[in-house]
Amino acid sequence: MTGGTTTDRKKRTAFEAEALPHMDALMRTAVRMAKNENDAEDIVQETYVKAYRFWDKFETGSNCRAWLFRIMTNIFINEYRSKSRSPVTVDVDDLDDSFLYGQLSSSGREDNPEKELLAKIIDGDVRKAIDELPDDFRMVVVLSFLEGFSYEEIAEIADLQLGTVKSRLHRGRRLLQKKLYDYAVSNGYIKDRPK
Amino acid sequence: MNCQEALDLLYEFIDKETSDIDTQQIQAHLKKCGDCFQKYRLESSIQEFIHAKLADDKPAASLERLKSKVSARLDQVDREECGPKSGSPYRLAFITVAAAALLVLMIGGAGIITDFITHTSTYAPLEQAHLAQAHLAQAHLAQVENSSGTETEFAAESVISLMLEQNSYELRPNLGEFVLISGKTEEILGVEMNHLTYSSSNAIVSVFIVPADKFSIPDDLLDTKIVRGDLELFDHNCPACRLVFHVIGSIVVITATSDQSIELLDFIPGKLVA
Ligand SMILES: [Zn+2]
Repeated sequence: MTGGTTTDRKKRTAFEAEALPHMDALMRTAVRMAKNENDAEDIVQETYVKAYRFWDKFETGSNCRAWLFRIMTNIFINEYRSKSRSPVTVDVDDLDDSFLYGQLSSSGREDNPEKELLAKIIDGDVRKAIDELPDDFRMVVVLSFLEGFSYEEIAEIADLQLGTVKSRLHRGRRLLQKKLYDYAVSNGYIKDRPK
Repeated sequence: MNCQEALDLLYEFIDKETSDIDTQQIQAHLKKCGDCFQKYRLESSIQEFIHAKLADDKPAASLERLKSKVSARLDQVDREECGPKSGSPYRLAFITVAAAALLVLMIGGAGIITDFITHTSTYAPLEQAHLAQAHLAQAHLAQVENSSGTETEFAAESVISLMLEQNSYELRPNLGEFVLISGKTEEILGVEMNHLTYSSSNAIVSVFIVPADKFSIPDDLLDTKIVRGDLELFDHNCPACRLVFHVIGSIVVITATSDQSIELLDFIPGKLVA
């Protein structure tokens, strides 16, 4: 009795049907994680190779999308993040939670202050703001904002405590808002207000 | 619920992560408190805005092209897994591997034998060496458990100091539940290798150490490369015997095990010292 090609084919077919439909999502998240498309393509390929090798460890019926993201996040952390890892100091504690609200609501348009700002921010600004987040924050923010994973799923995917996921998302949001606000001011979309 | 309590839970509320009770209380608070409602609206519209912008941002690379690349990589995995290749130069090795596999089966290695018999990869000699050693080690283990174990420990220690001296490579004598139990030199694939054996209570991992200038990573493994710090890993994962090649400084360290429950990529037997 040998391994047999029928079994191999079955495995391949099942894998392709379950795993390949998530390529789109994996790729867009990989691009935001790695910040360039070449690395992102490599990461996605590695993810599929690894997932395929470990396909027998995947429990049928469980969440294939989260499983693939877990593999991908692992690859990113192990192989790509370390490449450019430099000590990052994140100092968001001086930003209070309603920083943006405070800035905008003093602009005189109390009824809907965010509308004006959001209307002027362009796609490139959002991408830039996300890319400038430190790796650890960017990963969690992208998994939540872009892919809509729950806190618990993110904890599982990125191998973090639930509390760490919450605090990184919280701080990541505040950093993002600060960056978007700064672009808006420096591009002259809105006028800065002293705090 | 007061303003502070509502605002503390605001992000979790927006992310739909609050409990039913909290959700009701926050909704009630937002209805009656204009200030909090404005903050809520600001936060949730920024959230939606960012999601929409990111989701719109399609990579320029074609997904179809990526799909065919992935497909080619999967083909490669299919091929490398144990299909018999006729006329293989490793025919002879293959036959001895099967013999070694039988030994393992006899001592209760079980499970892997059917896959293994059809296995004719380039690395078969490494796998054979591992399996032969695993067999010996299992026989040894009973002895080691009953004796002081000085003989095997001594052998392992001499390899540790040799590696440190010649290659600045510091082998760890203990790796989690694995303990270095023996070491020897052996000619495999035409090169002299140091072959070390790590053992836990129920599994064996072999570690082969060979100078990098005498051994190059087999071509078909080149694109399984993983970089971890100053370490490059190449992964051959087939059901019979997993091999991970570590290229580090001037040596190649190869780990091998037929126990699929061990994550060999995380089994790093040592490190370079300055
Ligand atoms: Zn309030």
